[in-house]
Amino acid sequence: MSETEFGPWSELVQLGTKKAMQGLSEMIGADIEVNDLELKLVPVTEVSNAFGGRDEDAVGIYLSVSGSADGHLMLMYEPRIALAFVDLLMGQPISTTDSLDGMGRSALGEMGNIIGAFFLGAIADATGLALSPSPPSVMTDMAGALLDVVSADILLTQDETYVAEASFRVHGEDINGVFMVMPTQELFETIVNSTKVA
Amino acid sequence: MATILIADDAAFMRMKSAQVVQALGHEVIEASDGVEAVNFFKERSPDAVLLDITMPNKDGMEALREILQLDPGAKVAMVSAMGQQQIVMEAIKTGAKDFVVKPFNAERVQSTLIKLVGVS
Repeated sequence: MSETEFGPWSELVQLGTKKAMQGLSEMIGADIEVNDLELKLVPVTEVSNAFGGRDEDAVGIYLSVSGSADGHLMLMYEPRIALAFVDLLMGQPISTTDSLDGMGRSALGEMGNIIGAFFLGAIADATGLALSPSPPSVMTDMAGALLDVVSADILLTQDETYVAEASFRVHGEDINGVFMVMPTQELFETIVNSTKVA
Repeated sequence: MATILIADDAAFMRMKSAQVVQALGHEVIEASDGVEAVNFFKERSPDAVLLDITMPNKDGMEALREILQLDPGAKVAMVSAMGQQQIVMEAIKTGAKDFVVKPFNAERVQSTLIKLVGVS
């Protein structure tokens, strides 16, 4: 990928991530301060390293992207962070939830839905493309197994993908998570080309 | 009191929406996808519908078209996190009476229900 492609892509991902955090902030009714946002291009087979390794327990919220082109979005959190999100979403003190039940999964799925829609909405508005998220899937497994769901499709067309690692602060707590934006090569080219004509 | 059909695939959102609607004194019917939404509309004739767009089996836009075929005067508000202008315009052109962008607060749902059924 050239500098001229990475620049616009990076700007769009940052714009989308800011919007996504705005959506999350509105959803939980609390200010979210983004401490750090790092965008990396990594080999698809090494994506799980961004999460600390394939064997780490994780909760993943997955959405596919459709419309002008296809792609994948995945949010991954350590289980304790995912449970803290459930508490924030349900409006209850953190540490109330100690396991992920059906309502907790639904709450996390809706959080993924809001983040995905705000992220894609920002990119769609900036490029004029039509991009929609699928209904979310909430999965609990080892990081490697969760990522295999997506990487098999990505590997059909490319060897590298983009990972945004975001850390933010809410209610005085630092929360780290991995927000993976994994465009297929087609989606990446469609977005970059649209910024050239926008 | 009005009867409000809430269609959303997310149990969490149905719970949150139902809390707001019931607090306003309305009865709630819940549907978990577009197919159920159309069936419940046919069977129960609710006064108004809050219809999510992104749902499995049958999405909200398709359900909206079918509900309007059953009753061209149906009072339907679309509810979605996808607030892009083109999606809002398509929903309104198709016949939705309002568009609520998620995440929403109680006041926003209340103003929509006043618009749809005329009582708070």
